[in-house]
Amino acid sequence: MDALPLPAPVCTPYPVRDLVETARARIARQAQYAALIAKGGSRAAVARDWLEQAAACVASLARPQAARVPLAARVSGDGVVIEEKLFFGDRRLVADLAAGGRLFACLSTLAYDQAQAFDRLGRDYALFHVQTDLARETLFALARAADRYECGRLPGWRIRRIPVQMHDLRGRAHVWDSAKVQSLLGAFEGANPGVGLTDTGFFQPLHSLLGMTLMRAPG
Amino acid sequence: MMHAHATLMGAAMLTEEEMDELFDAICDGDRDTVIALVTKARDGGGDLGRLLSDTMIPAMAEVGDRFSAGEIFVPEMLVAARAMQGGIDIIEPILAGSDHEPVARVSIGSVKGDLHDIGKNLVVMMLKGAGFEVEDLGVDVADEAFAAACDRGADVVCLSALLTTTKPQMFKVINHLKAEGKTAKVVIGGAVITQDYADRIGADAFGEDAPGAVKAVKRALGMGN
Repeated sequence: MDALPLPAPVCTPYPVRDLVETARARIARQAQYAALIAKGGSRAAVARDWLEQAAACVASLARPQAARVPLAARVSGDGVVIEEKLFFGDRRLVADLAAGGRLFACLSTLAYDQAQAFDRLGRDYALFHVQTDLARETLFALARAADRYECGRLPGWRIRRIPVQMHDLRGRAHVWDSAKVQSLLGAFEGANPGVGLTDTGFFQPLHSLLGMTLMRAPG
Repeated sequence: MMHAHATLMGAAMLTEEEMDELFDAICDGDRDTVIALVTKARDGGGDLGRLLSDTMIPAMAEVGDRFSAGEIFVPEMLVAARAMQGGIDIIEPILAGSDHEPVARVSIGSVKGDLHDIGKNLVVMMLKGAGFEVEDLGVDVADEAFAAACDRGADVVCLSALLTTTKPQMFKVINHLKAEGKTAKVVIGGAVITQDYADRIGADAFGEDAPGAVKAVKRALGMGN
């Protein structure tokens, strides 16, 4: 098994404008915005203006940062004990670890509060809604950029994202409850870019994302 | 296109065609046309209260129905709300100086522990577009704050919760309001909320989406759709 050059836990800033432009392009292709823009006329002009203002807002407030830390993980039965604190039942992960894979926790954040955006946008509800959509896409762009960076460091290594999902889109609770996520956040220690978790399962700042990645050597 | 709004007896100083045009302008999110027509009605000394209730609010209700039917998405609903607000901004100062009353007073917030505001904000916009006076309490709102809103004259309290971890707080709010002797109606909504849950915890009504919340508020107040 090749030794994996492990990075020290570190929090890395990412260029906000690139991320926002990527997010803006993606948002414009989403059905809800694309359909409106396709209608043309004043409606389309308003949508484009909102996207521009939202992009300027996110670009001015966000300080995108991503952190990645290696996790101590050992197989136990049909699951994995992580950092000797929490058990994650996942047979595929068991197989990956048995094959020499390494598990990492990944934390991304835009590092600003929704309240700041609301004030900056003149407390305009519609514009704020568009900003929220754009911020979410910017966060996803940040997480993808962080993954690409790791893949770039380790040519040939395979990377698999493992979502840490507390709730689905209907708000229903999943495997990862607040206590488990809090435990995982603890692994970041000094590399945590200021992300916390409420008892009810909300990240603070809201535009933050926690996940795991499994990396396997080529061959 | 003729719409099912009441014919104003010349009171709005807009022709029938212009009222149709205003209705369509709101539905189409054409804020400039809305502003032009409402300005004309204002300058002509028209009954702006009736223009609001008989043409503009039904237009926003039409937008809400189209959204609930899946014909349009949220951004288009927002554009229509923006156009509507353009007209309301002209009308409100006039009505504030008269004896015109809002449809009712609503206070809305995301319950304690819930930091999400997307759904709540959509409801705020739709309620304003329906002629309600709306107080936005924000997110992570304590039970006592909802009670205080009742003391400030809220006819309806709207509770929003996104997650299974926060929805139990709705039951606590309802019990707190009852214990404090508040008589405001309670309407609830959110991604994990159902009519069944609303019935079980004693809410007065449930809104399945933002336009549905407006209808729920009206039902809670015993008003027609």
